[in-house]
Formats: sequence, C-alpha cells, structure tokens
Amino acid sequence: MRAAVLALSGAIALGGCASDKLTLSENEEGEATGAVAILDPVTNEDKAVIDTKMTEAKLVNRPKPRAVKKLTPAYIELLKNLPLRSERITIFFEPGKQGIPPSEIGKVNDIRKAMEIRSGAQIEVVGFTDTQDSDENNAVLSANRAISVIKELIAMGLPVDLEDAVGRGEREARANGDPDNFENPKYRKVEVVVR
Amino acid sequence: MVTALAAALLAQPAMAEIGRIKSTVGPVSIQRGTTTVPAQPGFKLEPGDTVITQKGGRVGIAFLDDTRFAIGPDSKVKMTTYLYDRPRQSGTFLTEVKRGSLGVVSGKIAKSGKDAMKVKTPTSMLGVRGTKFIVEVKGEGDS
Repeated sequence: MRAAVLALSGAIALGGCASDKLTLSENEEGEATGAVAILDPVTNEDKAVIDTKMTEAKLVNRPKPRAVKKLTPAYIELLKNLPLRSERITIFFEPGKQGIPPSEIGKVNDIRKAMEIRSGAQIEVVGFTDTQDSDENNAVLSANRAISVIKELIAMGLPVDLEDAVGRGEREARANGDPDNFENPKYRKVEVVVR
Repeated sequence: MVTALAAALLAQPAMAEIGRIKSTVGPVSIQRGTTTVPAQPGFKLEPGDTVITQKGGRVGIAFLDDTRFAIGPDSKVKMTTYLYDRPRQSGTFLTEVKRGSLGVVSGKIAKSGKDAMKVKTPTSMLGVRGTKFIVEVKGEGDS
C-alpha cells in the first residue's frame, strides 16, 4: 500500500499538477499567431508545440492540446491588465546632423502626449544612421541624435533620463541590405518608443 | 560635450531596470532579496524581483524589450533572468510562475532566438516563440 502511494506521488511529481495549463489566445491585431513549446526538462526538446490560437494544454508528461471556443471570464479579466502596446514616433534628421530639424520638432509634442496617457510611462529613444561614414562615427552620431531628443524632452519637463537613449548606428540599414557609404534618409532617424 | 555624452552612452553597462509596473489593482508587492515593498505604477523592476499578488490583486508590467505581463490574483511570479542588449535587441528572459496566473504578450527577446524566452512552472518549462498566452499554476509550487 505504501509503495503504491509513493509510486502515485512520484507520478504526480513527474507528470505535473493536472490543473496547471497553458492557453494560447488570439494574438494582437496585426500580429501572427506564434507558438509556445512545452519542453522536456532534461533534453530541452519539444514535448508539444502549441501553435494554433485558442488552444490549451495541461502541463503534464504527455500534453494533449485541444481547441477552446473562448477564454474563461477569469482569463479575459486577467488580460485586461496587460499594459497598452508601446507607441513609436519617428523623427527624421538631415545628413550628418544631430540636431532635430525645425520641420520635425512638433513630433516632440506627440511623445509628450503618448507619455501622458500611460501610467508609469517608460521611454526608449533609439538613434540610427544610414551607412555614410564609418561604423564608429555612425555609432556616435546615432547616440548624439538620441541625446538631442532626450534633451528636448527634459526641457519640456518630462521624466526622462539620458540612460533612456540608445545608439544603434547603421545596424538597421546594414541588416536591410544597404551597401557601405549609401545615403538613405529612411535611416537618418530617431525612433522613440513610449511604453 | 554631446560627443562625450555619446561615448559614455555607448560604453554604458546594461541598465539595472528591466521593466516597469504600469498598473496595480488591490494588494501587490515586490520582493527584492530580503525586502518586500508595495508595488505602484512607475516602480522599476530589476532581475531577480518577485511580484506577489494577494487575493483580488492584479498587476500590469511592461519590459524593455516590449514584453508585457498581466499577473492575476494570488500569484507569485519571479523574473529570474533578464538580459537584454538594447542596441542589438536580443537577450534571454526566464520567468518562474510559482503560483497563480500570468498573461504574456512576448516581445523582442522571444524573437531574438529559439526559446530565448522561457517560462518555468513547478512542473514544466515553456519555450516562448512570439505570441500571446496564459499560464495557470494551481499546484503547491511556492518554492
């Protein structure tokens, strides 16, 4: 009898609590449904991959995904607590320049508005360049562009800090196939992410 | 002057902050080491922090890589590992759901490599591959 109880408790420990589960919901508007894999804890290989929206699986040894028609009221209530999606505002720059052009300065006000509608707003200011000039100079130029925007926001009294600035240099232009020393206004920018 | 700032910026170590509490309902606290403090919007989370909600408590969190969490009542969720390289937009993220419910919209870390984002429960390990999902742990997983 004792052996049977031990065997049962061992099976429960290995198999997981029958009520623990994973539910893949519909992804957000404009986003494709991705996947969540239930991994083998030893080999890290997939035991099951849930890649269809509105599917759930109990977290047990042999998960059997099944379709669900709708989320439970508790899950719907839970997801209401997800923060707003981040908002992106892009400011474009003149070739080789780090100051915000007069034609773009109005966008700083859009950043302020995006911050005001978010409680505990957090900001990331990411500078970019095209591939003209060297990698090293572009890293510095992209950081300087981000710093220019941060300083403008600080001057408006917004709670931002220099550590919220990031310089990505010419990485994005390179990744998208631009050759070296190629002028491309698309990448002379600062992207401001407000969360 | 600005160039000196840029050099400092490019050389700066990873930020301690990994994300921010965006909203709270009811009793929510943050355990950091041996200290526990009440959570409020704007609170800056760091790696290793544990978010604890009591009955009726709920919290929303936004991370630097655009991952977003909603944590339900009677939950204990630890951000065990969070490494994010902002310029490269890649990293690793391990979250432990010790009890309760966690809603997730994954962000850039999940897209930066296969299973770069993982969620651990007392009985399983999940590899997140860019999506929106809910994990519920009802067992005795409060370790």
